[in-house]
This record gives sequence, structure tokens and C-alpha cells, in this order.
Amino acid sequence: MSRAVFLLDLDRCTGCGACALACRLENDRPAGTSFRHVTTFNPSRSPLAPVLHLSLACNHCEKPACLAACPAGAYARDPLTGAVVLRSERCLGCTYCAWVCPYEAPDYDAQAGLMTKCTFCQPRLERGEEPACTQACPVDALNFGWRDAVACPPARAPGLPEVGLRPALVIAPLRLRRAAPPGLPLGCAPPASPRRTTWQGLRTEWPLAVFSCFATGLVAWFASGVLGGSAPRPLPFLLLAALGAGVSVLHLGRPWRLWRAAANLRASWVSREVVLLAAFYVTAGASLAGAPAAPALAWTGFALGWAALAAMDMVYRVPGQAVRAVPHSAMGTLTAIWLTALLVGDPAVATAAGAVKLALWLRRGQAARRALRRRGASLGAARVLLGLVLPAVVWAATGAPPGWPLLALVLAGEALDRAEFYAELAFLTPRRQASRDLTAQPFTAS
Amino acid sequence: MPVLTTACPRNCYSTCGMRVVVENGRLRALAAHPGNRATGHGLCLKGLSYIERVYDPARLLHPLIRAAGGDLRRATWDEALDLIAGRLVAARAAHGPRTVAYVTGSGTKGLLNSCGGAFWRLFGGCTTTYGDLCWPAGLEATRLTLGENAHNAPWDLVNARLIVLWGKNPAETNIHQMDFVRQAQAAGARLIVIDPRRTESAEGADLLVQLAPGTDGALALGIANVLVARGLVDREFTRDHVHGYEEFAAMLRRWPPERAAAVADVPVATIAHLAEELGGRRPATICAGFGMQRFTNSGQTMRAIIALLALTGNIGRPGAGWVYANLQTHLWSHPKDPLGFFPPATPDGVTRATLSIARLGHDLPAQRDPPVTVAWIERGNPLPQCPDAPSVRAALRALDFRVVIDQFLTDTAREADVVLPAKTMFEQTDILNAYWHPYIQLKQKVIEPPGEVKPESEVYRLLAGRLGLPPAETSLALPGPADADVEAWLARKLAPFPALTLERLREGPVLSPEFREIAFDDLRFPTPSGRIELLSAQAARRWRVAPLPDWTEPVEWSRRADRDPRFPYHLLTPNTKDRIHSQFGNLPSVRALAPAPLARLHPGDAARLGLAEGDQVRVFNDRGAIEVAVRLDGGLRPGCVCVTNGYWLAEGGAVNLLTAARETDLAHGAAFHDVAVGLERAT
Repeated sequence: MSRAVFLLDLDRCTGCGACALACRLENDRPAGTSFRHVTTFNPSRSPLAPVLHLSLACNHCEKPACLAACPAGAYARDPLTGAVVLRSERCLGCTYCAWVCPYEAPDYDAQAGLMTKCTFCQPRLERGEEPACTQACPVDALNFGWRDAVACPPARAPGLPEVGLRPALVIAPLRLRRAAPPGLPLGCAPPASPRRTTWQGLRTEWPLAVFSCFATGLVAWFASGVLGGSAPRPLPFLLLAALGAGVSVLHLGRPWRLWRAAANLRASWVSREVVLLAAFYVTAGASLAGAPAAPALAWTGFALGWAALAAMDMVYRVPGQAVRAVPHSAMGTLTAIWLTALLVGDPAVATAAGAVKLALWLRRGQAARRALRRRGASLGAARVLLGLVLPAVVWAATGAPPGWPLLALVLAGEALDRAEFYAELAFLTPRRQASRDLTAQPFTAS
Repeated sequence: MPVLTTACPRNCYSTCGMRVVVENGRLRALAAHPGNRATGHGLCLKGLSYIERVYDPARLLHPLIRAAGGDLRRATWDEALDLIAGRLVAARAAHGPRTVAYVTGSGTKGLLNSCGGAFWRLFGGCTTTYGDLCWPAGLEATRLTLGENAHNAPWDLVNARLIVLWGKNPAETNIHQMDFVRQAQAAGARLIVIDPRRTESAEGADLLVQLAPGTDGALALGIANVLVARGLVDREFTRDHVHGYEEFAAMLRRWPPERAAAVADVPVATIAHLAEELGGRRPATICAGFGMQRFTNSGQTMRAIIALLALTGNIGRPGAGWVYANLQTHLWSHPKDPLGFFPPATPDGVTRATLSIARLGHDLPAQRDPPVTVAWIERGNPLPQCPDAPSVRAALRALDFRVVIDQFLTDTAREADVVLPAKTMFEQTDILNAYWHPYIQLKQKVIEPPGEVKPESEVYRLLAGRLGLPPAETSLALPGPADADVEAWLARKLAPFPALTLERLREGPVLSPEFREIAFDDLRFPTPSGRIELLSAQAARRWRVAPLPDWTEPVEWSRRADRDPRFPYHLLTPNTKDRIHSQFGNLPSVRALAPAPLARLHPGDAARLGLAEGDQVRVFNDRGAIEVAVRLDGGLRPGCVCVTNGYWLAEGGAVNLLTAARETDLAHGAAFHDVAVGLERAT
């Protein structure tokens, strides 16, 4: 099958930015935004590496991560051109597509509460014209063409993320001999980029942090009841569930379209998470309020809760991320096991889960320590000492599972860990790939 | 929707042919005109930003008058013109007409720009500037050596086997040339870049020579020495076509490569390598930029570089030559520019050209008999763009009355008593020449001027009426108000050239009647000797420089033995892709890319100064200081600091707060790059 592709010649591109501006004009976007962005590799001009520019818009991948991930099924493929198109009337504005796309193609339009992205200039293609960006290129570096989908070689370039999505991008690599100015290796901090990633950690995703803490706690609470601990009372359980779900909606650009989030159960972990969690809340609520004696209902709720947490964990597992979300000390399933064991009073499971958490926390190493320094080392120490070590010590010393005051400390520690999870999670972007490739030793240009 | 031909009038090599789509009287889209073989691939960032520029909310759409309280307020045209006419009449009565300084910049090209000069002659005269901020040292060096400023067609570069980008960064300043550079490289040409910076154009070069700023002439003389010593000179060519070869070769004995290497601070082997390349790889083209001809030694520098092509027979052949300025389209100005920039040898008694544009801030207050009391400034923003900006500001403020015509409230416009709103390129038809490609192009009126904007020709016509200037002569000099009047005025200018008609130009770019694909292909040079002049009596007579190319230390130079120890860094102030001088930076699209001026520093220098990426640094010397953020640049020659020019004073980064009001050795250019500065952490 023939598909439309972008062709980028790295030897010819000078990073002039005409393509990005032409794109902005064609799509009538506000100044400073565009569906196409130019990422400069080696912007500080380290003598050890070439300077090159990646002009990237949507790569209309053969295996588009956005299309699979979108819970609302807002993405579709145009049968004629192979373009991946966003049907904005279905978009929730959940920004999940922006997390999973390593090319930063989907852009969040805060004003509209919707994602926006390159359309491959469908109207122009239909008129037999080429896209605005490729037509504008003054140095013949960016072009447009049709290629056999199968024969398309995987695009490779320094700074170009490669996670197996098969982008519709053909790259002519660096071929000219690069002048190597004499000099020493430079540890230049890259200059700040004016472009912000859609994902801004806790700043943008705090509603999800709150929501996921509630979900994790409630699954553990309900599970401990099913396993013989004291069962939650229905009213507080349902109130907390409603509160958590309510807060989560705050992160949607179009909250009233929430019902569409179930539209992509086949492929989207967000859809699965939403459906499973809703089913858990309904089943658990029904079990607690209506039929506390019916074990089948309780065990169904139990299974749905764990499945929902597993789906929630998978939402954050995106190829190429610098800090892995699975496994992670703050992942929902692990935290829920730890909390359940504490509530039920099972020392073996609690010790195992606590030890795994501590090990994962320590293993996060550099990234975690950086995050900690930013937020104050005392917070990190408190999280470990009060949330993990103290309950273990107390339990070991007294032989009794921790009571409510200690549990409150544990919950605070877990909330802190989850907040850190959001603060330090960083998805792959061309800029991150570029600084990764630049510091990789020895540097290789192709 | 109508698609109309036009062309970009900015002071830029590319001077792109354009096609614009107009819908309901508004610009909808812009694209490159494929009829211009040099620029047909696409417009640059700036060209694409024109729609934004025309409809920018900050654009001036009405006259402004300085109110009693000191602020500029909106005024009617009648108010503004009555005020101007009254002040002009009073100033002329008190001091004579030459009390008015008529100062223009290179903000927009076009034949109608001559209306201003014609108006002031009818007024009785004025005081004008001489020299030019941009490029005269190189033009004069070329004129003295080759007889005139012409070069091969831009697309002929693909025939070169060696391309030297000497002080030129076309990736940012002449992006369309990069297409031809890459085509030549694909066909096997080698690319050498000579620049203190690792520029965008140096990526993909075979060799980058990062010499000390201001030493290009020494490097060229060292290369010439090796060419002669190793017998790499094209003796047949020098015998037949070069004047002064023997004298030059004898003088070169004073420039062994060791001396040149020491001056330019490059390895001796590099000089030998450059000589081998130039001597052995033909045809070779040197594309020279403007930067190295903005030093006090730069005319001689440019003569030394051109000499390399004369020695190797790289003139008048395909793929060879000196690509500096191609004035084949300058049909209506002095055929041998830069003569037009010089003060007239015999003043005509009407206008007096006594203001050196390089020393504007010093020469304005120095005028006597009569003193200058009124300034009329158009097509330019001299306050941040002339050397020694503080002196320019003080000189403007010392005047009685200032009129500025501009599209935006620039630094200069903010100083004015009356600001008149200027047209954009889309609002009046005019004819453009170029200085890189050989096309005459029509810059066409495609929309009505917005608001109350009037073109300058109309401002002058209305003012002439108020001043009671003779109507018959006025209507001969200035076009009438209607579009048809403007076209008739232009048609009269085109009349001597049968190939050029408005009808043909409306279709697209038209090659100049003086176009020659290969400049000097007849090997006839319009110099006094009829040959390429390495030995120039004219140079010695007119400019009091050595008759042969030579190299002397720049007056202000961070490598001088007697330098001021407080200022050990050399300031470079190049242009970028985002701007033409001080234009475009105010537009949101451009601001998003380059929101604030930056000081680029080598990481080694930054570490010594205790500065990191993003820190504020104070760049200072005796004349002024700016405080900007540090950008680490591992590709910059150590000892240099680079702040791109064009930011307004209002944006905190005008580099001319630091430059000196000095002329170049040849041709009254501005020696912008003789600047030593100190650096310290801003507190």
C-alpha cells in the first residue's frame, strides 16, 4: 500500500523554521504554536558532535501510539493517504496521546480543551497540493512524497526517538564530512527551550495524583475487608470514590465528554482503567451497601479492583520513558498490596511488599534523588522513614499490626511517593532523545 | 482568489520574488515566485511573517504628534502636515534649508525612494548623509580591483569545485544560496568556511577556520605568500589580466605564513592547506560576507582576499569568482556603486552631504553654517542601528524638531515630534533591484493601505502643496495620488529599457538587461588599467591607503599590544535568520523564536568568569553597557562574545550601545566590529 511520507534531508536543513511558521499560518494557530517544531541537536555546539535540526510534525505512524492509546477513539487513519487524523469532536482533552507520542505531535490547546495535531494538510492533498510545510522549505530539505509502506526503512537520526512506531518519515542522513573544530568535550547544559511539553508533572497532572491515591486506597480497603479485615462502611467508601473520580475529571479539557472514555477498550489502557474502576466502585458499593453477605459479589469487586489498578499502572507505561512507571515504588498495585497487608495484618506479605517498595525507591536512584533535591531532602527521608521503616519497626517491636495513627503516616508516605511519581515521570520527546544521544559515548552520527 | 506577483523589498541578498493570495482585500497567503531561479524554492521565516506584520495590532495606522505633556498622541493628517510645514518654513527662514537633515536607512528598496531627495531639492536643499552602514568597504575594494561590482549568477555556484564562505553565513542571511552550495557539494565540490564562529553554514563544511576577528586580511596575505612561493599562481592569467602582480608578489615576502598564522591565530599548516586548495582546486568561488569588511582595516582586507582569486585565475569563468555584490540590476543608480555613497567632489550648492552615517551622532551636532535643527528620518531606525547609539540619541534629542516615518514605534520613532505611518510593501507599487540575483522585480500594490496610512510619495506631495513648492516641478518629480499615477511614474523609469515593462513585471521577475551569467567573462575590467588591479593608484589617492592590499591592526582590537586591559573580549554583532537589522523582531512569530538578546560565550570563557547558561552578564566598555543572558556556545572562538544585532533599546540589547563611531579605511563604511568589551556577572 502506498502511503504519504515526509522526507527530511539532514544535510540540507538549516533549522530556519520556515516550515513551522508555514504550518502555523496554514492552520491558523496562535503565534509561538505550530503542529510542526524544529528540534536542534547539539544546540550548544559541542565540538564532538554535529549540529543538525529535526523538523518534526506528526509522523502519521504505521503503528500510531496515539491511536492505540486514545480512550475516546478520537484518532483514525485516512484510508487514502494513511494520515493519522484526530476527530476532535470525540476528543476528551485527556492529553494521554501527548504522553505516548515520542514525537510530541499532539499538542494540547488549553483554550479549546482539545488536542490538536498535524492533519498532513488533508485539504491540500485533496487539491493535489503538497503540505504547507514541505512546500515552504526554502532549501529543499523538507519534502513530501508517496512511498510503499512496506519498503519504508525505519527513520534514524540523532535525536529522533525510535520506539517501533514506524513513522512515515524518510530521513536522508548526514553525508557530508563534518568539520570537527578542535576543542575539548563540553558539559554544556542545553539552553532552555521555549516549547513546553504537554506533560508538566504535578503541575498539570495533580488531579490524576489525587485520583490514583484514592483509587489505590479504596481498592486496598475493600480488599482487606474481603480478606477478613474490617470491611469499609459503605457511605465513606462511596463518598471517597466519588471525590476521587470527581477530582480526576478536572484534568480533562472537555469533562462532559467523560462518557466517551470507554470507547477504546480494545487497545487503550485508559479506557480499561476507567471501565474497570467504574465497575469496581459499583460492585464494591453494591456489595458493601446492599449484599454484604454475598461472597460472589464481594469477590467480583475484589477482582475488578485489582484489575483496575493494573490497568492504571499500565496507563503510565510508555516506551522510552526515562523513569520506568512499571515497576515503580508508587505503582498502584504494589501500594495496594502493601496497604492491604497492613490492614489485614499479614506480616509476610507486608514485609515482602514493603521491601520491594524500598528497593524500587532506592533503585530510582539518580532521578529520584534529583526530584528529592528539588522538593527538599527532608520530604524524601520522611517518606521512607515514616511511611516504610517506622511501621515495620513498630510491627516488629510490638508484634501487632500498625494502628490508625501509624497507618495515617503510611498513607501520607504513599501519597508523597505517588506525588513524586508524577513529578519525576518524563516521557520521551525529541529534545530528551537529543540530549540522551549527545551524551552517549562515543557519539555516532548515524 | 487573485494570485499576484510581488517581491520582497528588504535589505537582503535574496530579494525574493513572491506570489500573494488576496481575499476580500486582505492578504491570505504568501509563497515564493517560481520565476525567480535564485529564490524559487521558498520564502524564509521573515517573508512568511509578512501577513502578521501587515496586520500587527502595534502597527502605526495614524499620524502621531508629541503632545504638550511629552507623550505621542494620535493626530489627523492635516494637524501633522500643518505642524511639519510650519516648523520647516520657520527653520528654513531662520537657518536656510540645509538646517534640515534628511536621514534614510535601508528599510525598504524601490525607485520611489528617490522622491524624498527630489522633494528636498524643491524645498531648497537639505543636509544628507554620506557613506553607508552596510557594505561600502567591500564594494570599493571590489571596484578598485575588478572595476565594478558584478558576479556570476547565483546558480552558477553549482559549477564550483571549491567554495569558500569567507565571513558569510548564508544559512542565516542568504538561505537560498545554501541550496546551490549543497548542489555543488553533491557534485563533489569542497566547502571551506572562514569565520570566528561555527555558524550554521559551517555544518557540512570540509574545513572551518576560526581565525581571530579582524585578521582576515593577514590570513589572505599569508595564503597569497604560499601561492607565490609554491608556484600555485596562474602565471598566464596574471600576465594577461592582472595589474601589479610583480609588486604584490614582492610585497608578499613580508607575509610568510608564520606571520599570518601568528596574527590570525590559526595553525601554519592551515594556511598552507588553504593555499593548496585554492591553487589546486579550480574553479573556486569565494562568497564573501559583510562582517569582515566592518573593521577599520577592512577595505584593504577585502582587496587582499580578492587578490587570491586574481592569483589563481578564478575570475570570469563558470564556477569561479568573487561573490560579494551583484549590481547588474542597479540600472537607475550610479553604475559603479559605491561612488553614490561618497560625498560629491563638487557640491551642487543645493544639498550638502556632510554627515558621515558611521558618525551620525557626532556629525549632527558638529554642523555649522547652518547648524542642523530639524531631522527627517525615513526607512530607518538609526538610533539602535548606527554606531555609538548613545551619541545618536543625544544628537537627536538636541534638535528642535524630528519627523520619523515608520510602520512601528521604533526606538527612533519614540524620539520624534511627529511620527507618520508608513506603507508596507503590499500597499504601493514600486520596482526593485537586487544585489545577489540578476532580476528586476515588481513590488506590487495588492491591498489598500490600512487605517490612514499614506505612502511617502503622497506625504511629500501633500507637504509640497502646503509649502507652496512650484506645482509644475512638483508634479514632475513626484507621482500623483492615484495608483495609475504611480504606475505612469514607474513606466517613465522603465522607458529606457524595452525589455522591462510593467506588464511583463506583473507576470514575474525579469532578467536585467545588463545580466551576464558569468561576470567578466570577456576578461575586460573597467579599471584605469583595464586589468584586475592589485596595485591601485586610485586606492592610494582617494583613500590614502597602501596602493597594494595590506593588513594593519584594527584601531580597537582585543589582540592589540596596547589594548585596554579592562576590555579583553572581542564583540561580534552578526545578523541572524530572524531579522533584517532591527526589523521583524517585534512580531510575535519572531519573538517566540528569539525573545531576548543573548550573549554567546565559549564555555571556557564562561567558566573563567563563573557564568553558567542563563546567567545575566554585563557586556561593557567605555561607551556603554548591556545586560543580557548567557548562552554557552562551544562553537564560538574563545575570547569572543557574540550578541546578534537588531534588538531595540526597548528590548534591552542594542549592540550599538557598545560600538564606536568610526569609518572603515575605504568608502566611509561603519567599522562596527572594531569593538573590545569587558564581561562581568550582572549584579
